[in-house]
Amino acid sequence: MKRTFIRRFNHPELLPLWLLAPAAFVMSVILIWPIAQGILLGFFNTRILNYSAGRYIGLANYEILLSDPFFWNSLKVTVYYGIASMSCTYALGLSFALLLNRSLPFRGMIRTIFILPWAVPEVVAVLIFIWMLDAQYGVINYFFVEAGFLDAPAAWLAQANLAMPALVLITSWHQFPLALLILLAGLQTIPREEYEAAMVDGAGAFSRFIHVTLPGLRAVNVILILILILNSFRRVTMIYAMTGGGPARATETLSILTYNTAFTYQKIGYAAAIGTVLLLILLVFSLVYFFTIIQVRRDA
Amino acid sequence: MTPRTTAILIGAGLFVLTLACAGIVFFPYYWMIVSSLEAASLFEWPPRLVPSSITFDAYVRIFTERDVFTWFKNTAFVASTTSIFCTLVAINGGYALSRFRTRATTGFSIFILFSQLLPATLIVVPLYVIFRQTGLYNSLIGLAIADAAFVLPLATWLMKGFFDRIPVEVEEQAMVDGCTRIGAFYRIVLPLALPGLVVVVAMSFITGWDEFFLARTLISSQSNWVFSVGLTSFETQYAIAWDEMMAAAVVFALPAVLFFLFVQRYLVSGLTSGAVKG
Repeated sequence: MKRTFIRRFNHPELLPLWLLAPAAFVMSVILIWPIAQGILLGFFNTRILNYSAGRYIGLANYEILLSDPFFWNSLKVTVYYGIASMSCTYALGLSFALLLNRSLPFRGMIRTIFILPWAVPEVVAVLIFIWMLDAQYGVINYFFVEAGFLDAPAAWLAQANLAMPALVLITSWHQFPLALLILLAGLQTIPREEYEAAMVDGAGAFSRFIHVTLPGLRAVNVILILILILNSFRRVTMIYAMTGGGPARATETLSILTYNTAFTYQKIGYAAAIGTVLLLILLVFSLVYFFTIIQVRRDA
Repeated sequence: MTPRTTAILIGAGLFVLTLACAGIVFFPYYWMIVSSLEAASLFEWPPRLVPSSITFDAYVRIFTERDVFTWFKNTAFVASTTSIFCTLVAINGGYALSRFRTRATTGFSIFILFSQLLPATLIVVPLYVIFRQTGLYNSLIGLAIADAAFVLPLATWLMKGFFDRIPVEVEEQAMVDGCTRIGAFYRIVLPLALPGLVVVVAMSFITGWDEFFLARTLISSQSNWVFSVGLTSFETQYAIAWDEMMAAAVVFALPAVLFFLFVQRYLVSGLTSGAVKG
């Protein structure tokens, strides 16, 4: 009896299951179970204080959502932040990748300097920028005033129209290394012969960039842009530590709105509904992502 | 000018441009370090771009008068626990994904990809409630478990990639020599995957070290604060002492940056190969 049990337990086909079991267990308990709970909570009017007494209210949270100006504001902020931070991160990444994609003295060292921003913890990046953007003594204000961009030092994080640009600035400083590395790897897959052929045809540097470099990066571009947008929709730490969604909700993305609704306004059910909408948006983007990867593979 | 001198001039110009860009990118780092060492007041206009004279006072003060030591200790504990726990689990999962093609492993791979798109805020709301109900709330172990779960998908995936590079013949030979499958894995394959193992250990350590959002939500008492949470409270807790804040930021960032520089080559090739190959 015991023997057959052990044999069954030791069956070679079960080995992958045993090896996967701990990972599957941890991920189920900490990631999947809360997500399922979160989706479910969206149909309840639960608050933090009446957790066990939350009542099933069907789609009421979603009905409130549709007429909630803060939700629509947040959706707008999310899209704005996503597109702005993606564009700046991409532009920095591409410019620096082009600069580094040639033989340079000290290339390894310079490359490391360009990757450094990514290494610093997000909280530290936020603190440095809060200090550099300080309304009275901030060094960025000093540079901008000296250069003539500003008449007087600005209170970047206290003004609704300046907080978002400040957030985009710090996001692109911290995140461009990811774009840089992916684009650099992409640039290195473009065959030299294509550049040489273009030069024989008399193409200048700009023309080579348009007709050889950009088409060569097409596959990498699509994937990178989707990754950058997905990341910006999911980002919490940086925005939360920098502005907490303020001032006047100017930087309150859906991620931050979900968090604030749950922990500042204590409405867990409603927060879960907002989070579920975010999850759906991310799902749509991910489907686009997967189908793009399949498409790119087929083209290759 | 001959075409050759033009080419040299353009090359030199681009090199100078590259250095200038590197300088701008590095400036926030420079400013953090300079602000932590400046001996005179930081509240001056115009700001002094080069420090008047240097002092380590702020570093001494944060360790003697502030809670930085407690934060450092808590963070080190959380980061190492996260790292050990995550690595132990990821080794086994990664090996299964690398060596077996069954419905379970395929399903798990999809599960890993899917987990990468989950919004952390939606997870954290119910997780907060679950932690309160199970007594894991406000415990550093609980925080480490949560951190580990958040890095686990990436860690398992990286580990799979490292096992993929070791030929299956290695195990087959070991099994011919009388090892069991599991024995061959732990005694033969795992030592060969040591560089990969080190990367996963460092990567999960960095994640546990840097993490702010879960710590902010799942830890309540001040004695259990980790560095990231303490650092963001500096402003409200101890007036605005920017020299101390920047000194604390340097102390907090240093281990993360060192570990990062150590693993970046592997991490980068792991992260980018998928995107470039498609």
